[in-house]
Amino acid sequence: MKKKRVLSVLLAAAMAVSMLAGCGSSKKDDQQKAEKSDSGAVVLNMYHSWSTDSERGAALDKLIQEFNDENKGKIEVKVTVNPDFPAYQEKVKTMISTDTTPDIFHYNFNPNDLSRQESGKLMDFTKYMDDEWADRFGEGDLETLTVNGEISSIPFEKAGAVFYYNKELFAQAGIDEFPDTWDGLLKACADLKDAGITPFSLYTADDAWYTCNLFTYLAASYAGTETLNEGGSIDTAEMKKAAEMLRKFWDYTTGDAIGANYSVAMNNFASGKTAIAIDGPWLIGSLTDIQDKVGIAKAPSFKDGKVAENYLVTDAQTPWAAAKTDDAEKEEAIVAFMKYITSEESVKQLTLEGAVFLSPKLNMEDPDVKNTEGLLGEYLALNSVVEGSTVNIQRNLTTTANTKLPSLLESLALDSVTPDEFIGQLSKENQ
Amino acid sequence: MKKRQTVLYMAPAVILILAFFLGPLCYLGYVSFFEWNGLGPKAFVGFANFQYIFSDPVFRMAFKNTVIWLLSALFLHIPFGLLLALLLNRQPRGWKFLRVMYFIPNVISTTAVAFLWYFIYHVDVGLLNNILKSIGLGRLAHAWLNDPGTALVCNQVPFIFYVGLTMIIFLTQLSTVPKELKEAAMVDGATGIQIDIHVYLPMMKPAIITNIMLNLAFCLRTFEYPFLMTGGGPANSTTNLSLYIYREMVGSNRYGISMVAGLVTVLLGFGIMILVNMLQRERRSCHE
Amino acid sequence: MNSRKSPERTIMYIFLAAVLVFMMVPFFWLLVSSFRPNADLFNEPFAVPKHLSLENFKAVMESHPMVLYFFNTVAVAALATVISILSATLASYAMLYRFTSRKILTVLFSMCLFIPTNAFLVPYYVMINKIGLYDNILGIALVYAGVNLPMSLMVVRGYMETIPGELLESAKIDGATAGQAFRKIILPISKPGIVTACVFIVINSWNELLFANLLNQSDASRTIQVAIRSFLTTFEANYAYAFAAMVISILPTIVIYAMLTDKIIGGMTAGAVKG
Repeated sequence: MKKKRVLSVLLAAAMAVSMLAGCGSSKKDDQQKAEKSDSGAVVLNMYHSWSTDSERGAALDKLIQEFNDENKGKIEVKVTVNPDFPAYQEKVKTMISTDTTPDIFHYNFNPNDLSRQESGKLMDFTKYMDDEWADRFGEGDLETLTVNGEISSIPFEKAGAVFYYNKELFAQAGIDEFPDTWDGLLKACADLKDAGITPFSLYTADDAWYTCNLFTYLAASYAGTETLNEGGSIDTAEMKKAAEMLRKFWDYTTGDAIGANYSVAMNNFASGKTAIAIDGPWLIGSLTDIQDKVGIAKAPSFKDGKVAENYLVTDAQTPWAAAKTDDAEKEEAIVAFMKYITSEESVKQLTLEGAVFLSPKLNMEDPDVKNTEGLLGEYLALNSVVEGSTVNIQRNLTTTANTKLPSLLESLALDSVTPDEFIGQLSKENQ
Repeated sequence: MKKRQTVLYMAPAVILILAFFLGPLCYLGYVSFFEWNGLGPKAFVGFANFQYIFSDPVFRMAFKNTVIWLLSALFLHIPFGLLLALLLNRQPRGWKFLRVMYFIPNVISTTAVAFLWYFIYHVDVGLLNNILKSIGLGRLAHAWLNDPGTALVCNQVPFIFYVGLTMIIFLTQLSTVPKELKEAAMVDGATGIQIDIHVYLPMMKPAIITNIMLNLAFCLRTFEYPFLMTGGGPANSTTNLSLYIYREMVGSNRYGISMVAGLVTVLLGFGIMILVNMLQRERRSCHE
Repeated sequence: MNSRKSPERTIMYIFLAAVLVFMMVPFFWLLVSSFRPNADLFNEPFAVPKHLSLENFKAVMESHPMVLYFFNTVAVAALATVISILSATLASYAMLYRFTSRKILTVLFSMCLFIPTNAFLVPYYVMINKIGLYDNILGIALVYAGVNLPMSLMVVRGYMETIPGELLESAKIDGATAGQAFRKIILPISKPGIVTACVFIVINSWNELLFANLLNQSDASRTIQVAIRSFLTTFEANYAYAFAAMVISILPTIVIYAMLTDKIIGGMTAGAVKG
């Protein structure tokens, strides 16, 4: 008898839960239809990956709050965050495919994967893009993002990945400054290793981004940034040389690099276990403990004039995009937000507080910007003298080649393929 | 039972089966003939996806690894569970306590267990290497999950080792064996091992079949261990069919190829079903 | 018993104890590590911990709604279990009687047992979206209920079929309707089988990551497994926090398990293998 009662209570509880869940979902549906909040404001559902635990996430969050306050009763931006960027990007694609595209989202632009733009489900900003707004963006960025004559993405994040190094660890190995040639860097790595310090943070899981940064720097040194920017086949002699060099550096990374993801490799550097990492400006926010010991260095080269003295490998453009909508009011609201988030004031706040580097221009003459000190200051200074830049190679690979990249890099590291075979197979997957 | 009533009683199960098994299976069969990135239109490609998959070394690796998973269940996990069950069945002191403790890993999520073991194998901070170093076996210390030679085995160790559920199923069966049989054997002077082999083992067939079925089905779709511990690496040495399906779909956005891999997995499942059926039939004929 | 002190018995005890230690050491290590700061974990993972603190737990609880995640996981598991068991029990009962498509359905159900459902990521995703249950615990629960149904059917049906046919016959003679016979006779007797199936589903639902990850978007439907994963894959990963989060996710289950041990193991002992 008693057990029966327990069972019925459980059942009742389950029913209650399911009804709650049911209510929750129906409410959401209503919202999607009316697209209005209780106060009558247009609701924009935003999806992004900048966790509020991070500096940049906090900075973005603050700006969104300010936007919501300014537009009280008119527009309300509601945010959902998924901080796992590789998973986030996959989810965005799936959402587009099932017609649940978020009103506003960001993604990694890849000229070889235009599936998002070609889905016909993204909003076209062309008619809103007046000269004044267009003028806000870095050179060529808007052109790059124009696909089939439509501006379906608003340039936003476009950060250089730079060489961070731990000065203290370098000093321990008796190295005074960061080498300016690749051979010098190899020598420095050997010295670090002899001193019992692991030189490089690299990793192969997910997008193997650290490793690809190094690879792209090497490729740019052999081929020059202009050649890389022309695109074309990756099955070239320069690439093979770059892969060969990459293999050499692999001897100087952590034992967990194979299979590690970004957070593992980043933590290795941030906790002082490795001496070098190639990362974006957002790394600065994670370096709290060793902030004073870290410096930013110019990338090494072969000193053969192939590549500009100050060259930079940037990450992919990570623009904003929006879901296509028939609702004129909503479209206006989206444009209002896009203009707000790319405004000079917003960009300044994001850069100084969130350590992000954006395509919308930062006023370098602004005294606050000029007087930025510490690592962010070093980062901005390095960026201001760049003469040639190229996008990380993987950001231009096809999705298939990108998926195969981790295992190919692992094979290279484990010597189960030669550098030549590595390039050969990668280029085959890239077709 | 009236017909209307039968329909009513069967309806929920049949609807769920249609929605979650048959429907998706048909969809799978359909999409496997198309090239589709999930966003754009589908393009009919005939058997091209099948051709691709059977010439893809990564797929062969995934298939091989899945078979290894199945074998590890058959030859390591299940025998180990059986051994523990037979030992506990002798009711040594504290057997009830042990029974409870051995089951604990089963109530902890695979996700947590997989992450935990990721750290156990970790080359620097990991438990395993540090234990090896502290007992003077430092030369065995090793980047366990980063070496294609050891990664797959390391992936499987928690599965092979955490046999709680399997053991409980065996114990259950053992508890149904009449006490008299054991007593009679003891009177005949049989030792513990002899009793296990001649009295208990022959009675265990139903439990063995149940365990084979449950564990093979688990191994066929295991995803968490390779996904969380190694992501299928290094160099695909731990990629199994589940992960292959997932990566082709979510990573490469090649839905057609992912679906073909899914179909192959389903076929493998049917192979296992036939095997289990044969075992079961044999068992029935024994009884009759 | 004279064999009490035989070497065989000693070896057995050593073996059983060794197995216990091997099983428990990782969890003990996890527990200790979860009280240590991240930097310590990295630099000297095995030195005798100098400072143990609740810092990690505080940080995890403050920055993430762990209680909500936990509630979500429980709700998903409970809903999935109720839906799946209800369908399985009703169907198993109906299949005690003969009807035309019974044989086909039997084959169909057992075939489904071997269909690896992870091949169905896309169809499930599309379907759950279509019925508007994306990012909703009910959507995840529904998938779990469906995915676990063949197994529940196997266990519950297997058990019901061991019930002697005479029982049903005599109920019929006493004038009970099919519904009454189900509630009054079959259901109470089948309880061990049903409990076993419940334990299986709860364990499976509790463990599941793939679909939970696929069908979740916001905190409102995030299960604890998805949350733990995000502790190690996000940019701000912190091993110590991840350990604390794992302990938080594990502890309640262990407590519940400890309280219900007899019910769970006892129930399974009665229901796991029949037929």
